[in-house]
Amino acid sequence: MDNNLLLEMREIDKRFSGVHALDSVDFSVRKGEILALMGENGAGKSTLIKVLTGLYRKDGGQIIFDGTERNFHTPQDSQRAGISTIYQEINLIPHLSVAENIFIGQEPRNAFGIDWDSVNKQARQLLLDNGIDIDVTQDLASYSTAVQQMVAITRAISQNAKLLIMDEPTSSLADDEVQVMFSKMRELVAKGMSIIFISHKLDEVFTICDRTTILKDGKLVGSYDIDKITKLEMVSKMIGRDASNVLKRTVGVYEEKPGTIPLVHTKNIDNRVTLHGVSIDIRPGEIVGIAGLLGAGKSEYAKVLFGCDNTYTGTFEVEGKPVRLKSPKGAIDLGFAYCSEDRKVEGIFPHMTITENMTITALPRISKFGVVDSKKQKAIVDKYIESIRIKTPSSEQLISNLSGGNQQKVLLGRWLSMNPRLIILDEPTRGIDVGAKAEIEALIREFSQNGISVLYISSELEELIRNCYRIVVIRDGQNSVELTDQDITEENIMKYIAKNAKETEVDHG
Amino acid sequence: MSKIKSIIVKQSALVALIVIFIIACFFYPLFHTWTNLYNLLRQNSMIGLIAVAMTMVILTGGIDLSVGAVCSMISVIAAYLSFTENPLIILVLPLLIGTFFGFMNGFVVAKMKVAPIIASLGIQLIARGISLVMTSGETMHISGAPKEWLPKIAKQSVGPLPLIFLIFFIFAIIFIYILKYRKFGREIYAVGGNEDAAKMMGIRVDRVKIMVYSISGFASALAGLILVSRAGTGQPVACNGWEMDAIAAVAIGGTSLEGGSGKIQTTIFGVFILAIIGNMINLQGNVNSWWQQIITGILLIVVLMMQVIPGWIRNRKA
Repeated sequence: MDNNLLLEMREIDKRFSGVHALDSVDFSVRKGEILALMGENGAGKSTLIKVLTGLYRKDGGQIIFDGTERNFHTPQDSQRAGISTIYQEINLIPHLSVAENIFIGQEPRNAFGIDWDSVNKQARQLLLDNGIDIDVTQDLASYSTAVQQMVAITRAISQNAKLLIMDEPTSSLADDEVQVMFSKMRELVAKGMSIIFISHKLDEVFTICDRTTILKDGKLVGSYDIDKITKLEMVSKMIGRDASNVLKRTVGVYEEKPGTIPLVHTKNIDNRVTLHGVSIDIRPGEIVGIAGLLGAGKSEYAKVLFGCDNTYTGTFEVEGKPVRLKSPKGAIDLGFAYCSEDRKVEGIFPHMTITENMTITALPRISKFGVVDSKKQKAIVDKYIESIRIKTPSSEQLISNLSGGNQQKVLLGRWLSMNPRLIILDEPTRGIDVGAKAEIEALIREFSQNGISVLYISSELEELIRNCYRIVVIRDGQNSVELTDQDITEENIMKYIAKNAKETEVDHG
Repeated sequence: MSKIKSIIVKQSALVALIVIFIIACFFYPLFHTWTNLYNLLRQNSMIGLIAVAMTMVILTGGIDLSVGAVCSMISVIAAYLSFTENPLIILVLPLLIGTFFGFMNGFVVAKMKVAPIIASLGIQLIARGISLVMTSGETMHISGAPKEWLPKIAKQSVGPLPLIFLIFFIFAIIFIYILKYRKFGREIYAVGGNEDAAKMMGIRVDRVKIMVYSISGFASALAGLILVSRAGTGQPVACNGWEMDAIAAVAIGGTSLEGGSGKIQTTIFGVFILAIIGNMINLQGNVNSWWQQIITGILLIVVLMMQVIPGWIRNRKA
């Protein structure tokens, strides 16, 4: 076999009770390269990784790692062989110290037991090597997500990994933190490590990766050098249809009817911590986007609108009348709806069905004497399953059985059933694959046509560009610029996001 | 000032223990007599053993409701076994049986994925049922030679201290050491802190869980042997509600009931906070001992508030 290959997986087959999750997939990783594993959700990426790391048993095929044929039965097996994995949701222990998180399971010992001095010393040294200078005896939970992510990487390095698998490692990092991580990755590859990089963010893939392997429906589409493929081609191959529309704007200019007043008028919203003067107007039926770095105040502004933050000063008017919201209840009564960025924590009830999840905010309206009218309930649920195209065999499915995209649709249905006037969407497509993304975005545009205003917060500029009539860029808690029509371009937005930003170099590939 | 504050918050159990100790010394002259303190140490060694093991179960994110019933059952079994007149059988077999009950508990939790509160409730009912079936609810007498030597064990002193307190103390020291300096100890924290992550780090989560419940069974059995020795008979209906006392001690000690953070040291403070309150009420003489429950309840909430409030204040400022 090719000497230059670290990993070769040949004709890998995997079935789950009839579903052909992997159909004779060939996959290889060269020594010292960063390979992007791409595909929509359900394409088989994570199944392939789980077969490789020993979480799943393969039904057929061969795995050759570092020159020998291997069959890993447990994650421990593959770790011992030199394969480390870093997951999207950081898989470390929050209440143990940083040092211990790096060494757990392989702590240095002395005659007395675990040698805490050398645990702490070695951990500190390893982190210093990675340019991180922190107190390693503190709980992991006391540090930011970015630091935690670096701790996870440090752990992987300390295990002398030859192959590092990174599954959406940047989904909770700010842009400058992503840059730090990328330079670390380049360093590791220069030392001969190989990296499999899984991300939904095309920009990142084109910035950092050497090669890409694309899967679709459990089958291999192909492997390509990154400089010989364009974003459009990549997306087309992932979703299997022509995707030339993906980067185009889909909305025109907002036509203001004379005499209408803005639904929401805010001026100089300031909470002295994260917001220092944000002014945004939202008119009826308008889709307004907010762009900005992580921590610029995007979600914080949304929380003011939805009554979660009552500490602000500034003007806040709804249809010309000043309001002061003390709780989300007040916002809901005004006809506001809010889809949180953290679907799992602030959105779904995983142990409840689609019906229960969707109608939980509507219960007062469909109950008589505290008893839910199941006919009315069913009518609501059926209506939205139909109109927003939720793919499910039955409305009595547990929501946790649905894909991320369909879960998000159930949440949209929940708010739509309240007949809202404004929907605040905070990262509505996070963790959702390209196909479902397109559907959610189409729904959002439908809302606008039906007169519902939308406040659209996203860290993915392409999404904002496609769907918003107007984009407000905020930076360090202040308005940076407001863009409309032809001014809405990626370059423009990036320029205003980055302008004067503290120590932030935006490397846009 | 902020340093003092952080000590008070971090060591809220120790601070509460010292305050209560001082109050007891101040108001009850009999409290700090050696006889009283000696009895205090002796009486609370059993619940202490159980609470130490309970701390580890709770650290993994579990709970063990079977401890009191197992303790009581073991006292009956040990008394029953006295007919063999063989010290090895009388003292070792009950420990094995108790450990086995803990093992079953852990097996059902880890392998069959039954919620710990339900699994241990099942074990509790089984153990209590066995005691009652064996005795028809009467105390079980010790027969033969063990009638002489078995009750003597609980009366032994080593230097100034009761032997059974030393047993508890050594047991606690061993597990304090294990939690801090042994791989197994750190794995307990990892499992309770983030089970999925622990699995991905190569920790055998199921084994860790089975181990902590087995230790809990062992500790309950040890307490059961002390019980039979102190009482001189097998006690089929004793130790009711001990699981709750042990859990209260763990909680007062600041161990998170969600698992992942806490210490045995502070659990021991919790045990003695509850002990001194009970002792004060006894010394008062004219107060109904049921007041103890009310005061314990209030104290539990106050101590837990001391731990939670700084977090609120921090969040408000942030």
